[in-house]
Amino acid sequence: MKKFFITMGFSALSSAVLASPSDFQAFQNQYNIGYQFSQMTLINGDQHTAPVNQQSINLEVEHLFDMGIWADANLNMVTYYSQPYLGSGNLNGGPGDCADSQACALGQNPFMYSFTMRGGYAFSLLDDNLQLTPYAMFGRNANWAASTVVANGYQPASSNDFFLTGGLGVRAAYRFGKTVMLYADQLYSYNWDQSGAIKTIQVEQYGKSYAATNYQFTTTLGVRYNITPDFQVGLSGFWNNYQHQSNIAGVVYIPQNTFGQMLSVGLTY
Amino acid sequence: MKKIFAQLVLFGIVGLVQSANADNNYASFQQFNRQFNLNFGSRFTSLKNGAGEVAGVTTQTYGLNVERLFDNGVWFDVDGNIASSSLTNQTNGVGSGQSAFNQDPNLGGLNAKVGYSFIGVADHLLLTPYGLLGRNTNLSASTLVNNNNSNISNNFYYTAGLGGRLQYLVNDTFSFYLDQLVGYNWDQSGPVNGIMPQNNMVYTTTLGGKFNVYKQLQIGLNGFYSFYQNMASLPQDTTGTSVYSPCNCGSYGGTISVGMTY
Repeated sequence: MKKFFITMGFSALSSAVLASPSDFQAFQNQYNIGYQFSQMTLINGDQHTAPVNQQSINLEVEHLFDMGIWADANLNMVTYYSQPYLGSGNLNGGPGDCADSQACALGQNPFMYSFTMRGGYAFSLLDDNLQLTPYAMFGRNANWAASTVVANGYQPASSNDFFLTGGLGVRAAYRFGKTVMLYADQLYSYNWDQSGAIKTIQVEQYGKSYAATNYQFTTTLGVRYNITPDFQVGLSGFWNNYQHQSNIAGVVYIPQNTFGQMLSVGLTY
Repeated sequence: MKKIFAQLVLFGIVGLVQSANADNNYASFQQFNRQFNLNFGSRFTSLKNGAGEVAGVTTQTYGLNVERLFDNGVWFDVDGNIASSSLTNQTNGVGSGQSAFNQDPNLGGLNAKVGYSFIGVADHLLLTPYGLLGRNTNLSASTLVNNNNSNISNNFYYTAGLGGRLQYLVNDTFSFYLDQLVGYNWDQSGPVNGIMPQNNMVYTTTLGGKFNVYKQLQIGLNGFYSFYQNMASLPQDTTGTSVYSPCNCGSYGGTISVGMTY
């Protein structure tokens, strides 16, 4: 019996690994432009929360090789940002403390720009109807929170205020013929603050040292619809949760979670 | 009528996006112009203020580019880029000293070129007039000041332009192109205090090469030169020094890319 299960296991694994050109390529050899709406909740050290509304534009390129290797790159930039005034220390367009501060133009959501790449291996299951893709992710994301810019003494934001991001994830996809594909994606990532805030932040302003490094847990559910063999529309919803690696001071707001949706229009190839 | 129109639109899309056919007249050019890549760029932008003083900004970028040449000759190229470093040697005026932003307004953008390719010499020469639409940041320090440091997402340009690209295929491995673009950056930042919008014309000449080095692997390399014509006089900052701005004194740079054809 044990031998039977081992044989079955090897058989399933080899069929998954050796699957050559996959029907999923009809969905995953594609590129698209997406528009994203998201709502973020900020929280400070006193457990007060505040909402952020944000929109962004996204360019994505995805490729599934015949041998099963999967790659996906995303470039995202914010086009609209809105948050309420959060008081001195968060410097986001409030009265008084903003007259001469560039930080006032920013909010407390640091992720104004991002570029991420994922690479993994797609295992094909159930006669190539189900696909399971464990992957690794690497990226560079802006850390343009107002408090970061202040904490770093107004150093050049593009050069200094960013996260290096790494993560592990898995994506499960199920296709209905070559027209509709559903997928669920779970990613655990680490946003490693490169801004140097932990070394230089002004204790007198924020009460304690603070780095913006955090863990990010992202769940995505999406659907892709091949309207024609070459024209694809996508819709997805996602949920982010953040766990910060530093205790935050009372006045500083940081991301707690994000809920969002994205609509994309693209071409397969 | 509505149904007929809908069918025509759908047929149009289907016709436009049909897969590459090796027998079509553009097949040899599609070996180079159906590609996507990851790219890294560097540029030096000269700045000048109203007093004629000159400074500069060195900016590094990275980006994602998607290009496609359809069987019927329609061509598009979509490029998204983000600045990873922007450092200035400016010593006076807004944007110098301790400043999160300098006087290079372009720290990221998404631009799409769409055109039609005419074959000049079969399998060798291609001429592509095109239109460009894009959205690019206007995050110079003076823009933030002139908007009372209000919401950063207000500070951007809509960009439109017309251009032409001449491409020469040496063989299946080497291709070179010359691209001339005339663009207009339309400032959407809504500056206050009587400051005029910082609209400008930009003229960009690009010379580049694409090299299909192995199977689907493509390497790209280009160099460009731009100069700007500002449509309004530059505002004064609080110290009375004229604000520095990209000018007709030139900007130059280059990009290297690694990508795949498809």
